[in-house]
Amino acid sequence: MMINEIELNRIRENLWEIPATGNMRVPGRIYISENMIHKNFKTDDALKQVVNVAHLPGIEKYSLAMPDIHWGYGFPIGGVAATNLEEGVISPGGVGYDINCGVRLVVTNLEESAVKKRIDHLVSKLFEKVPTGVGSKGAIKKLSKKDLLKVLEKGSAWAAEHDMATQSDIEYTEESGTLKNANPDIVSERALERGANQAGTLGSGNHFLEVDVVEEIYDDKVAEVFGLFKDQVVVLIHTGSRGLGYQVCEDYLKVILDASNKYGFNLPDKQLACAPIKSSEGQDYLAAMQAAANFAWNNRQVIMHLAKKAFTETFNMSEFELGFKLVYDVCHNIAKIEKHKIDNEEKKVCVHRKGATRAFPPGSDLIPAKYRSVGQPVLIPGDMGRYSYIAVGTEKAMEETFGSSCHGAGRNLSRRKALKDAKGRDLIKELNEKGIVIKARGYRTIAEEMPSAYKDVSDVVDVMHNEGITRKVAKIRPIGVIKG
Amino acid sequence: MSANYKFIDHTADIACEVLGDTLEELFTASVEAWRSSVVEETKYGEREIKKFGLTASSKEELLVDFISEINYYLFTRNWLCNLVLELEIKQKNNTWNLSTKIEGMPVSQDVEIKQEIKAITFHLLNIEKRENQYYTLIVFDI
Repeated sequence: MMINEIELNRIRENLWEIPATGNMRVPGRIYISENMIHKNFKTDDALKQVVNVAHLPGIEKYSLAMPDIHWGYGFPIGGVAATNLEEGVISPGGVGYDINCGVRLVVTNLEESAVKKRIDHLVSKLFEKVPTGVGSKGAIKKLSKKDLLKVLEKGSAWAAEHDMATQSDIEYTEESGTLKNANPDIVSERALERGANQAGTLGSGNHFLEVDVVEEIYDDKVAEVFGLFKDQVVVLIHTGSRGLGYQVCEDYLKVILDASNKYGFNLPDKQLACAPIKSSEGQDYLAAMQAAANFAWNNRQVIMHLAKKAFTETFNMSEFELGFKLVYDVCHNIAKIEKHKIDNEEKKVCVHRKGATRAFPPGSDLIPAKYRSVGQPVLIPGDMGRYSYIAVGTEKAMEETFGSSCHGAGRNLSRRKALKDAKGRDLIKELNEKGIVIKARGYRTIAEEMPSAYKDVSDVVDVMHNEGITRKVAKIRPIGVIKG
Repeated sequence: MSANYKFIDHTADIACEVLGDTLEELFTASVEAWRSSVVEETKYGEREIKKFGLTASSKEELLVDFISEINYYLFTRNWLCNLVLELEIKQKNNTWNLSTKIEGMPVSQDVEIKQEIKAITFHLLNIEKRENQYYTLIVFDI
């Protein structure tokens, strides 16, 4: 079929290919249902971005897109591309402004019945402890430059050294919460200034902290390994590297734009600016991006620590009784050097995941030992009024998507349209009637982020499940939400 | 302020079409669009002046740098730009220079910030002449 003048050929039920034409170096491949194609691409030019990404020097196999594909900057959101380390490039557009935006899932020993009675109090307590909203700051003491540089170097390990993380938290974070080649010395003063007071803050937009209940289990065996059971209360945290990460992206976008010209890359979009991975510009971006990624892991770790305090104080229980344990922390905006099989040969590539989650299979030595029998937890948030999903990585993801899956629902309405639709409604009451308590810095955020502003995440998750890229493990539904 | 800009629908972020008879007018209108995206009309408090200069390798980069600078003042330094008092843009070979004098104020608690702009993007940014006016689309990542 032709969509926005782009040819899409069906490969399988939910897998479509854009043939390589013109200067495309590889074909594009999109995991999506036919129904979603017709709904999603009416006004969205994301398919063109899949085509654009296929122009990147050194791209391997395909320019990929997950079913939550939508228009991004340079890469589409939901875009995945692997570039080889010999002639391949790295692009800040394949990571995004919010470097290492990601999600962490925490389980508790509590059941819904015990929490429901005190949910108002719990949400207020979480709101009091975790700064949210525009310019949110001051969750913990403002970091000195020395400390901030340590955070950039060590990631979650910094929180552990300051009694805000356990060894188990570190173990159950992707990359153990630290990318080892981070170089804080090449992060600008301005980025440091933006991040100094933001460790442990949620920020604004679509970032959130949710108290959820496990509503449905699809795979008992895997759920047990992940420590999940029906009616269990869990916590989902979604945020990233805050102003520090945005500034690193902004700083290096300029460097990489100059590099694109220097190396003579003629790319269809400035936001696709890239530099050879081997070049000094590429290496510097990679090292600065890793430093920002470490900041993000520490950020989510500190938020988890603050959330734990809110729980223990609300329910007057010890940490042991509460059982506040990290299931996993995954990033969905990142570029990482990984080994993948290409043409029957194991190759090191730079995997860009822009709004895509790593989804490594059983047996991978890059996931915690406890999960090696089943695969990596993949966390896919939906919207604040419906549900989110926990899935698990598979071998097929390694074969087809460089071990990647989807990351969320994707917006359905623009913010302006959502604000218009919210006029005259009491969204807080509407959510309350569905059993959800929400607190946000301003009503505007609640309106912009209302459930109908998002697509149904089930459609996205089902595509990946039906194609065998990730398998559904559990569905969770929110009962308490804090937002910016 | 003359509203020489128009917001258009964008699913996730803020997109705006901006016009100006001169590049200086286009840049000033872009600041006005940025300002109306982040704050409601507010009473002007204590007035302060800032002067700065920027250099870039294209007019598009110069525009991104200009709004990014003003965005940084607000979200990191808590200082809101209210007006562009003076602005001069010059091109020499492949280098674009800007010098400006802006007026603004420290942000107090009674200024409600509507939303945080993470970054000014290059997405679809292309300053061009349309019917004797400069035109561009500019997208703010929020």
